[in-house]
Amino acid sequence: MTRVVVRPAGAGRETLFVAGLCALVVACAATVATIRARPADEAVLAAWRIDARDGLNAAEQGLNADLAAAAEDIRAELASGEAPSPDRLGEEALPPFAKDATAARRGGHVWSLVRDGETLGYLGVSGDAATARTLLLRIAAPSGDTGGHGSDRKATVWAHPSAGAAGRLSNEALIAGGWKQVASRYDASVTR
Amino acid sequence: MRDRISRRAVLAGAAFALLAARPAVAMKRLRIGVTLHPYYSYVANIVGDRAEVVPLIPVGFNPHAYEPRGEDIKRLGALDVVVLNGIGHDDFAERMIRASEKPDVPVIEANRDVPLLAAVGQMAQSRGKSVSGKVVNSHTFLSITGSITQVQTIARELGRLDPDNADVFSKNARAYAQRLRKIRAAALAQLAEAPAASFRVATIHGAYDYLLREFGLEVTAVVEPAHGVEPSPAQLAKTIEQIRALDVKVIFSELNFPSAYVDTIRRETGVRLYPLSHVIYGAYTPEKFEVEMAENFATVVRAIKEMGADAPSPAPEAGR
Repeated sequence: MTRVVVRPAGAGRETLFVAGLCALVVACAATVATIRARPADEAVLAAWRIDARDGLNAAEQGLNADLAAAAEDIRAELASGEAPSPDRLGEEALPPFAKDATAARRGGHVWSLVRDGETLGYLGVSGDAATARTLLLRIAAPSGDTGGHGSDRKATVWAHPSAGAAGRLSNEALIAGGWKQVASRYDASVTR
Repeated sequence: MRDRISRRAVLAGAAFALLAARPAVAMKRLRIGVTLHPYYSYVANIVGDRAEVVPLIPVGFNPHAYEPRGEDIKRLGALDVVVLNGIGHDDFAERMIRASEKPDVPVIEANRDVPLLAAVGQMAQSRGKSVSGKVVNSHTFLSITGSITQVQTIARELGRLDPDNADVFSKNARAYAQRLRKIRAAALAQLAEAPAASFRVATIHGAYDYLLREFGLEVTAVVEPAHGVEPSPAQLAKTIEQIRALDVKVIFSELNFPSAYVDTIRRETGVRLYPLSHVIYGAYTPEKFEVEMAENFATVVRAIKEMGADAPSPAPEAGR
């Protein structure tokens, strides 16, 4: 009598192989993802700066964008003559100095020109602090004399919750007075 | 007689020299590639006849769904510089440049100095969480202020590439910016007072945030998950609920982009629809942006007036 041992049908070994292969694929993918991971390149802003995208409300974002665009025109006028007054800029319909429905909706800022040596400031005192903070467009004259602000001749926008005036316009004086510089960052499309 | 001949000879020589010099001057004209209609208008107005503006996308193609073709990529090889939106509306361009005969062609990132807004809409928000909140609203060209800042950047960068014409570019850019500002000023002059706080708006497409900010308005809700992507029935029901709950008065939809679900929203909520132009369809012309933006501003003014938003007291744009 011949006895043949028939092993029960099963796929234990194959299952093990497949499971092992899956684990290997996952391990490889995890290793590649870990190696190629890019560190977060977002710089943390200093305490005296605020992000234009996250730190400003809608009204302030609109004002900030208008001030950034107006700075170029103001600098062009400075190069050819005297600093234009906010009233004159308003008469030329240059936002945010123009007195229109949008200005009223954004807090009804009252604009004035402040001088600190060669540095100019366009100060917009908010008429409704709950809607928008007081803003300051600081812009250096094109003479090259930056009034103690180093070589930075760029126009910058500053915000203050309740200021009614601005004295010195240096970074140190503004920071000491509770002003925060608005920082805009450029992010190219994430799908490029 | 001798004098006559020599004078003629001098004149002929001068004429010949002028004719010979003309092709050289023509050769110096920059060939500038652009991806979208507004950028065509910007650049055409900045350069005038001092350079040639070349659209990368042929007329009739929708940039939202554009797939580069071989002949379009080939055209890139003859360009001196390409002007990009760069923040999400022309992502195809970088792939085209990489695949072209001139992968190192200079690129002008027009939005480099524009204060960008975060993207809105369900898809953008879900993607934003996975990319550190870097998804921005790419429709900066649908506003006067955003456009002026881009025009300034483009003019400055073109001036660096073509210093002989830098002054002309700068002067043209300022004149163009003044014309654009007049569109906004003319529209706002028609509003006696600011829209009331109760004047809440929604948009079908998340393209008009920058434009509505120029009226001090903030978009309360965006219907489409992404451009051209119709909401599912569940998403639509949620949007209708949201529009009712937030007491939205007006929805700004899009010209040339009718959808059946928009009628459902109107029927269910009773809000009024006003169509705006996306300025990305039709022929490329220098005046296209001014014409269509003037129409957009007129439409928003009409919406504010018709909905009786001239409330007695100005109200906040948004709370912090």
